[in-house]
Amino acid sequence: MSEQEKEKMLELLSDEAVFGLSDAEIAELAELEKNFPELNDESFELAAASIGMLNLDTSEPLPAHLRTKIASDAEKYFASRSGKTEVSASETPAEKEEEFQKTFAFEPKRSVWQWLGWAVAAAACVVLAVNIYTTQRQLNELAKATPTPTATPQIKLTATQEREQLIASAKDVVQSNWGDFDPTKPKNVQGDVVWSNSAQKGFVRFRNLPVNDKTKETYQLWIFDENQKQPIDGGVFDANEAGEIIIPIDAKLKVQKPKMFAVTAEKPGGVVVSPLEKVMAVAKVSA
Amino acid sequence: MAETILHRVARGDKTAVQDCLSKYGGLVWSLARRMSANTDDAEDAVQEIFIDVWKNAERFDETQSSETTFIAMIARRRLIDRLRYAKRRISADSLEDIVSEPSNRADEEMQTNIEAKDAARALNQLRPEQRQVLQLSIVQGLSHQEISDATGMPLGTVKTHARRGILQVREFLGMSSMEGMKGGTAA
Repeated sequence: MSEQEKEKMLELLSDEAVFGLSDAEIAELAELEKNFPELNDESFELAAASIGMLNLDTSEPLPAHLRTKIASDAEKYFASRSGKTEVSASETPAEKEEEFQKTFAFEPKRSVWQWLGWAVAAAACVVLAVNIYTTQRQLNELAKATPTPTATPQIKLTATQEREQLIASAKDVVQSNWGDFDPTKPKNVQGDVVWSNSAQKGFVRFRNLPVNDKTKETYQLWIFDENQKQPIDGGVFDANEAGEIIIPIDAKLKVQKPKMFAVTAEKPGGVVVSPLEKVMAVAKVSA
Repeated sequence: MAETILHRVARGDKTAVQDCLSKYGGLVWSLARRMSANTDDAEDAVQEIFIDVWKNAERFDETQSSETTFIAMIARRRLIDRLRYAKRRISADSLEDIVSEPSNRADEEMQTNIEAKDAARALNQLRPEQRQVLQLSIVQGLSHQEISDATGMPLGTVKTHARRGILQVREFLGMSSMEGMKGGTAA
């Protein structure tokens, strides 16, 4: 058992605490633990956990529905544990874990009640389908006897007109100019973003945003909201032409207090969570 | 001394579960939100974390750490495990944090719990590069490669700063009971 091995184990323990380990590193650490069991005392993980609490806003309580679910899970867990203790108190930790997985299974989404729920839902769908069919027939018959009204012609505004209309009509419009994310690697994207909370509507305007190859990547907008831990997906779009382009923002969640907007280049179709590898521009909203 | 919540959980006291959720629910929820891709993922993670808490309650040793830190460790362990599969290596607000110089964000006064205040004090003992690497990795969730890309430090240097930094924090917080690393990878 060399000093080198010991040192390697300490390196792996610190890497585990800070970054997490790959499968190969986990296996390597498990091997080393056999030689140095006294070294693995969780102290690195406890230190990392302390740092992990920095700048953590814990004022938001656990959502009520989640709390109820966890309490219910806990009851099942303790019931399975106490029941098992009566049957066999001499089982190994591995057997306990296996038994726990069997009884508790951590698959609450597939409980009997939920299967029952699905069955009820399926039956309801059949009833609904029959109802829609009969109603539709009645409506068709009624339509045959009723004159069709002439549709009112609607004027479709361009994105430019809609943007101007929003700026003119909404009193809470915020406006911010695009800038570089990393000034040492300037992309020189220009333009601005406008957003109205009350209308939940906004537009991004770009100049110098490179035309993207749609087969390789697309642009995606992100909205950083003070009340959201995760950035809100603001929609994907392509830059089809070199001049000025205006795109409506398609926020997937309600925006409450936007503090920054960012545009990234992502794989075609966009992503749920951005690796933020290619940030094209950011626009910070003034307080 | 009053019995800890985790010890009450360990001996099957049902009221302890509610006490645990009341006292640590917000902490676990915040950690899960910070390290999960979306709210659904965070909810799944929190359920798994509390099962881990019930299972590990009897291992809690109040001479080693506070209950808060122990629960945060269990949460972090589970969240890192989930990240390994989700391959999500960056927290939601890291972009903004990078923009706003993360090295300035370990102010002790800003911290809401005593453990975080201690951690802030410990971080402030480190060299700025070590502090930056630990904040970007642990608080922001960046991988060593991402930190290397973001800061321009070579990958080996990032790892060295992380290792030496966590070692010192561990010692500063009185969690060190073993022999420290000697040397380590050259920066």
